[in-house]
Amino acid sequence: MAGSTIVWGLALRPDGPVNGVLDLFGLPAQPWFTSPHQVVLSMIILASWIGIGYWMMFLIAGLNDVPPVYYEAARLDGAGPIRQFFSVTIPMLRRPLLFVLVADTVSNFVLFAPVQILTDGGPNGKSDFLMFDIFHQSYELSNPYQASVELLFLLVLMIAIVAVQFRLLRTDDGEE
Amino acid sequence: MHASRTFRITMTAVAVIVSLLFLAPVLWLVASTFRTATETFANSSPVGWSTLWPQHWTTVNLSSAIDNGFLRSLGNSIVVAGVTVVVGLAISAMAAYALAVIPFRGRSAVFTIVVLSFLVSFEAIAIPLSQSFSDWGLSNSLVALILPGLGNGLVVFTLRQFFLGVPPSLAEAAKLDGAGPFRTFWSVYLPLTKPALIGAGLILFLFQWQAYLWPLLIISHSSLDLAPVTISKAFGGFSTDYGRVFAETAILAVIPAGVLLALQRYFVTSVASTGSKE
Repeated sequence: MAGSTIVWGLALRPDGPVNGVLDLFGLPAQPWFTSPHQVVLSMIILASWIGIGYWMMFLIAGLNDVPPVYYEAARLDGAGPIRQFFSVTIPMLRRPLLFVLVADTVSNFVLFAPVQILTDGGPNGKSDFLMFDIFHQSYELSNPYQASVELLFLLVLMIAIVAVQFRLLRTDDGEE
Repeated sequence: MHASRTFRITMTAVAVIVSLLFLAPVLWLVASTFRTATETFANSSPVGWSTLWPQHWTTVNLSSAIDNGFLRSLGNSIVVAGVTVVVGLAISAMAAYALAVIPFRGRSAVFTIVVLSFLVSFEAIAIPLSQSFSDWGLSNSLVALILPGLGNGLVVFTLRQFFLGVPPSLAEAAKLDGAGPFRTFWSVYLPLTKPALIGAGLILFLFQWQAYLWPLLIISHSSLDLAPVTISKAFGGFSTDYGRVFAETAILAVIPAGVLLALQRYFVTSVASTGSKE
């Protein structure tokens, strides 16, 4: 996380290679993390690049568990690759997809390292995400009570998301 | 037949382009490790082959990383992750076995707590937990870094799923041969779920390898800093040596990449294709 953060932080510097690539296509250089309007977009690019590799592991494990006979049966019934993907792969991957959807959401709710390393919540407080603000309030601004309240909000939010996820996993368990 | 061939070629082309997009930052990182930071940024725009390929190779960044004590932080990270994998796997596998196979009172309540524990991110409880840790006199120790990684709810949950997938007939056969619960666990369940165990070990490893907030909260002696914290300190310093940052980041990335490549073949098989051949 910290490693990818730094690589992307440097790659997205105004004089970095990402702007170099834009230049190749005749596009103007972008300010990325240094602009209040683009900092959130830059964070999303960074978090997605990190997340795809990690969460893909869970989906690959799920893919390996799909019995090949299902694909054979679909092929015999005349299903093409696209049809097989939507009628065999997606339904068989329902559980891992669901898990990844919620777990990835929850983990990005507490996105911290990129903010702390790259922007310190700036510019103009535009990347002052919840987890960073809690850390910032309690350790750098000596504001532990406000931090506690924010933490409570974060926990309530998470429990709400988790409750929904739990419901979904439960009904899934029942089907087995 | 012809349509399927065109389709295959198109899909392969798409796959190659997508993997190049993901590979490019990694190649840039490796290239920047072996050239000076000045050269790195001079070749950033306009992009060309020189962006991903050093013109003047140098190991000055690597020696700068080593001179600044990066190997000690790397050692700390390796010890923390290694102990977490071994001890955490033992604890989680036994917990998962109990939750999957041994019926006991309150089992579903325990399982619910385990699931809740990994659905709520660790970061959300890290700050209050770090205060408890310092009240207990645990701050600034390797133990404090290792402890939160040991009981991993996600690992318990995944292993339980795999244990549930082991055909009960195998456990019954072991029982008839006189095996107790521990023997059944050791000789039937663990060997059959090897790919799952490797995957679980990987989750435990990555949790510690990428840990950032927790080490920041619990460690104040720089001799105990983990590698990611050391890198971010070097990055945030007053006069940043970007070459050194590139080199340290490359070292930090190459270790999990090596582990993943070495273990990749185990992900191909899984519990679905082992055991009962009915």
